[in-house]
Parts: sequence; C-alpha cells; structure tokens
Amino acid sequence: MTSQEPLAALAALARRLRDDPRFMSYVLAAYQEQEGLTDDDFAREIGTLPALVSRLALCKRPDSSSARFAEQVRELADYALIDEARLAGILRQVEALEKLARRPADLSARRLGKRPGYSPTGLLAAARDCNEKSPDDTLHEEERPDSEE
Amino acid sequence: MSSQVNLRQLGERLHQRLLPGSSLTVTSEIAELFLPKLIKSLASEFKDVGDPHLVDMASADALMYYFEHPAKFDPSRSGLFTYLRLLARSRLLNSLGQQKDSEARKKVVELDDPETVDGVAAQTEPDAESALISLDMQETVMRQVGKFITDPVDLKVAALMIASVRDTSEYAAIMGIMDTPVAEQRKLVKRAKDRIKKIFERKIQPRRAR
Repeated sequence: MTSQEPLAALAALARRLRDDPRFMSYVLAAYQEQEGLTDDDFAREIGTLPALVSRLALCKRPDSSSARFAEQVRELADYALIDEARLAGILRQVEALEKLARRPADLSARRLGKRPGYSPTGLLAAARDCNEKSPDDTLHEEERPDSEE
Repeated sequence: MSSQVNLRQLGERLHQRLLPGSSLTVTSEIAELFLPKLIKSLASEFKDVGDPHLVDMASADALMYYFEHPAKFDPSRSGLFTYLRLLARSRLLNSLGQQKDSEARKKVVELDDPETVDGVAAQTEPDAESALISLDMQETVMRQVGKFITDPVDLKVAALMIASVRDTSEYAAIMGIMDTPVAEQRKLVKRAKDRIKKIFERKIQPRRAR
C-alpha cells in the first residue's frame, strides 16, 4: 500500500516544488523561512487550512510584470480562500528578497556555468547579507558601476 | 463542473488549460485529481514494493515531468491518466532497479524510457479513463471548509471558489441574483467571496500560535 494519505501526498509534492521559482511552493517556502513559520503557523497566519496551503503551493506563480497580475493574485486567493491583499503582500516580499539575491546568485551561477536559480535559503542569506551592511556600504555599492557584472 | 465528466475528458480539459500557461491553478487541479489516483493504481500493481514511498515519489515525478513538458503528452494517443501512469510506472521500475531490491526486481520486466512513454499509443487502463470520476480531493477539502462555513449558500460559493470557477454567472445562479445587472452581479459575487475569506480567516486566526 501507499505510504501516505492523499492530502499528505499532495503536500509532499508541493515540498518538492520548493526549489522551482515558477511555483507558489517556492514563494511560500521563502516567506515561511524568512518569517520563521512552520507549515501550520503559516496556514494560521494567512487564515486558511493546511490543505488549502498545499493547493496554493501547487499553483503556478503570478507574473508581477504582467498586466494581469492583480487578476492572477485574485484567482489564487479565491482558490485557496485567502485574502488577496495578504497574498499580494507575500508575493511582493519574496520578490523583494529575490531582487536582493539576484546579483550574487547570477554571478555564482555564471561562474559555475549553471542556470541561475534561487533557493529560498539562498535568498534569505543574500537578504541577511544586505541587511548587515551599513548604510554607507549600501551607498557605495549603489554608486558602483554595473561593470562588475 | 459536471459530475458526468469522465477522467479522460477532464484530463483533456485540464491539459488544454495547462498548455498555454495562462491558468495558474491548473497544475494544482491536475495534481489534486491525478496524484491520489496514480498512487492508488501503482500501489495496487506493486503490492510488494519494499519502500512504499517509492510509489509516491514515482507518481510525483510523473506529474513534475508533465508540468515541465506538457506538450509531450498527445491526447489523441491516450488519456492523461494512462500517460501519467506509464510515466510513473517507468520511474518506479527505474527506482526499483536502482534499489536492487531482489523481491521487487522479480517484477521488473523492462525499463521504459521517457520516449517510449511519450509515444504511448496503448490504453493501459481504459476502465479508469472512462469511469465517471468523483472529485475526491475537492470533497475532502470541502468537508474541512464546512467546519468553518455553515451558511449553505456561502458553502456553495466556497465550493465554486475551490473548484477554480471564474465565471460570475455560476456564482450568480447559486446566490439567486441572475436577474441583477451583470456589473452588480460582479460586485455582489466579489463581496460574497471576500466575506467567506474573512469568516474563514477569523475562525482560524484566533488559534494562532504567534
């Protein structure tokens, strides 16, 4: 017999998609890690059931540059019975982390000859690095030319 | 969604929604419909698998492969369930081969490669494909939702939301507002959806640990 109940099997599939930035699983994992939330904590935080979080995690991620972004967020929020503003906030927070992490991730990927990809852990490490820098460091970095890349 | 749809028809509809990449929920809907059925079907064929997680993993692998390469599935050659089952079976056989589990290996006849599976013409489970399906997972989720939402109309609206129904008229019919102008219907439906989310949130969040 199989090892898991259907809901657990879906949750396990969602966990396997955590490294794929095209899926909501990745977004939710990055957010949970940043906020230090377990799966159950996270479900309570956004006011829904763990089973509905798994459904959400198995969805594709909305494209924030798309003209349909708001509609896409609404579609996902309805599907998981969660507040769309809260979901949009999570998406924005994770996207901000990605922007912080992009440059080092791009560079290391290029050095290793790999396709750029960002694990939630990598995103958070990059975000922490940025947070630890002094305002002066940030200023100097902003002034630097992009030729480093 | 009609209850008279069979697995093959529903698989084809979901596949047509997956192909253009415009639906965000379709991967979840496909997983919810097919993953439990794949696991159940493979588990019944491979009863003697030493590690039952291998069946789950192989079924999940099949779905992930399909999400990555949806165009490789040809609906004119087989139903989606048959296709996914062949993919999952192939991966399971590979895992068993690698595991060198002597008991399980007795069942290994040959290892299908993905190309063979992609080109499948066989109908390995015609009964499964043509059977009228029940949306088991949606029903399971709705049972949980029903603990929090008691109003029968709200519950029906929640069921449509969970089924990823986007058409306002379906909500309007349930809410009895079909005679209302369309713009007003949209507003009322949006309000009903927001109310349901709020009810849900309020009932779940008081138990917050943080």
